[in-house]
Amino acid sequence: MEKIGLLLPFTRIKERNPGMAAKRQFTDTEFLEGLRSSDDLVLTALYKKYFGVVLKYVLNNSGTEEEAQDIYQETVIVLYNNTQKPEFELNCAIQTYIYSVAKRLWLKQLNKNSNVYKLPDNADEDGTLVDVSSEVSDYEEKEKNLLRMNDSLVGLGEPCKTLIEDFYIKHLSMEEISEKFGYTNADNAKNQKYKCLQRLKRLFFNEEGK
Amino acid sequence: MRNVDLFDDYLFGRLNSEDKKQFENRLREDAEFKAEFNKHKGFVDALNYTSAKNTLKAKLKSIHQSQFGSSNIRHINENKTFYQKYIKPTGMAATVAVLAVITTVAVLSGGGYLIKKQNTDYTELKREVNQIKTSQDVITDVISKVAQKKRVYVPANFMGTGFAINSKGYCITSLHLVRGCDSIFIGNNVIDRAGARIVYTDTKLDVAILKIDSAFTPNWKDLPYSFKSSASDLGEKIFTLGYPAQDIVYGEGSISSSTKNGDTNMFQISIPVNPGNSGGPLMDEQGNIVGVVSGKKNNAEGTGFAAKAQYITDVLKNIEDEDLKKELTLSKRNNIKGLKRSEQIKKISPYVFNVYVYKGN
Repeated sequence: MEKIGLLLPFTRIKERNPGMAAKRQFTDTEFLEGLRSSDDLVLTALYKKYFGVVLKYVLNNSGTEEEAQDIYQETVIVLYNNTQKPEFELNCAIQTYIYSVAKRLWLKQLNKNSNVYKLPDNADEDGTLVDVSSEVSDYEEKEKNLLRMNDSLVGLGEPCKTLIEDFYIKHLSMEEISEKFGYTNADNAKNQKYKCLQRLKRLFFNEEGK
Repeated sequence: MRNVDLFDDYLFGRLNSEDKKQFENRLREDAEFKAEFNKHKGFVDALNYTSAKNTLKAKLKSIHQSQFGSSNIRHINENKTFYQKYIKPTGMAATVAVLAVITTVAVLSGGGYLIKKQNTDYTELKREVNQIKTSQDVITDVISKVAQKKRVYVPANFMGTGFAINSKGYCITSLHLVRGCDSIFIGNNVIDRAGARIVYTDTKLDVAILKIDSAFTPNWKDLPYSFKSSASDLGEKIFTLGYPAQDIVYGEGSISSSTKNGDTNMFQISIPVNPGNSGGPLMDEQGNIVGVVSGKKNNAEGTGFAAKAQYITDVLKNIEDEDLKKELTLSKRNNIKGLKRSEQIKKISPYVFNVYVYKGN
């Protein structure tokens, strides 16, 4: 049976045991270190620890539980992506950072979805906010690309989508791709990749103009 | 050599030092070349970001499900409040534990005849994975597959079968298989492996509907089979596909009783089913889904039970949440009607999956 791996969601069974993540207490430094090294156990513990903060905020500001979940996940992604940058330094508590990012994302979403909502920006009341505007606008820029890329990939269809992902994401060699897709040789695979790429680029950049 | 191929070789560090130098020189001198390169690099970055973000988001969703439970599980007559779900998880766990104790006591004591009868007569067909055996298999797998760069996954705690219900990425399986799980993955030789979460359950019919993670959902066109919304007759010839073993297994027989010991939600079938068959499709000769395999009779070989598709159709039609109801519309077109059985199976099997269920200790 031909099985081609996509993603290994959890590296070790030990790490995906929720009980362990729940029991251990991490310091902020340990959290950041764990995120930097993409440790699933730490990610789970962090996720669990701060969801309540964001949930409460979103629920109190005319959001639903599901929206809170989504905003929180985006927030964790912003934090995670930052920890992957070598120059990143956090000069406040993680909780403050998460709260600040989540709040900003949520206010943006409220403003986007409706002209009626215009929340007064008074949540500085407890002095627990930090300036995350550059991080959030960086995230928004990438998000715009992401939506367009997702659409373009759907429009691209198979086998092009898989071929492009195998090459650019999984870094398979042309020989491996050629074998997997049954092309006669690596040059043929290269030509196919070129055609697929051109098509994807057309989809991606054409939609940019709109 | 095309510029794009050159760019990729440079980005992936596949140029030798001399070519690399030459390339960088050209970047400095040729503004047009540089602009083209930057555009390509921006595009590749966007592609990488997209893939990494989709993966991370899926992972966070699965973490959420494991830590807080699935917020999308909707029980028919039960709307969990925020309070019940997030503030009182221990209380709920305790209730479950108490119920489990009561049931056990009832089963063990002579007084609980009814419960005892049902429990001893009937086996749910989820496949509990033999840890030692599987880890051995995995080890040998790892050894034999290292050369081929194949993925090897952590063995699941339970395994069963599931199948697609429409082309929007929803599939159905047995509730007893996925109940209380941390995470669910599905896979077959088309999809390999994809995360899934529970979106709907029905206890009486022992079915759960899963949404396959959209990051992995293949581009399904119309499904080859449809769901039968009318009753099926006693004696009707039927067949099933499932994963009681590593590879898909076919079984055939007929509907042998229209109830399961009086329970009209299920019928009895004369197909030898085994652990792992749970959640598999039960189809009639035309390739209509007539049921979902659920369990078997303990003291009689070759006797199984399946939830009736007729009732599954009814239950889904009566979902109150309009959005969810629309999402869960069942496949209505059947284009395998006149085909030979082997041809039918070929068409159906891409939509039948192994369901891997992980449960924490």
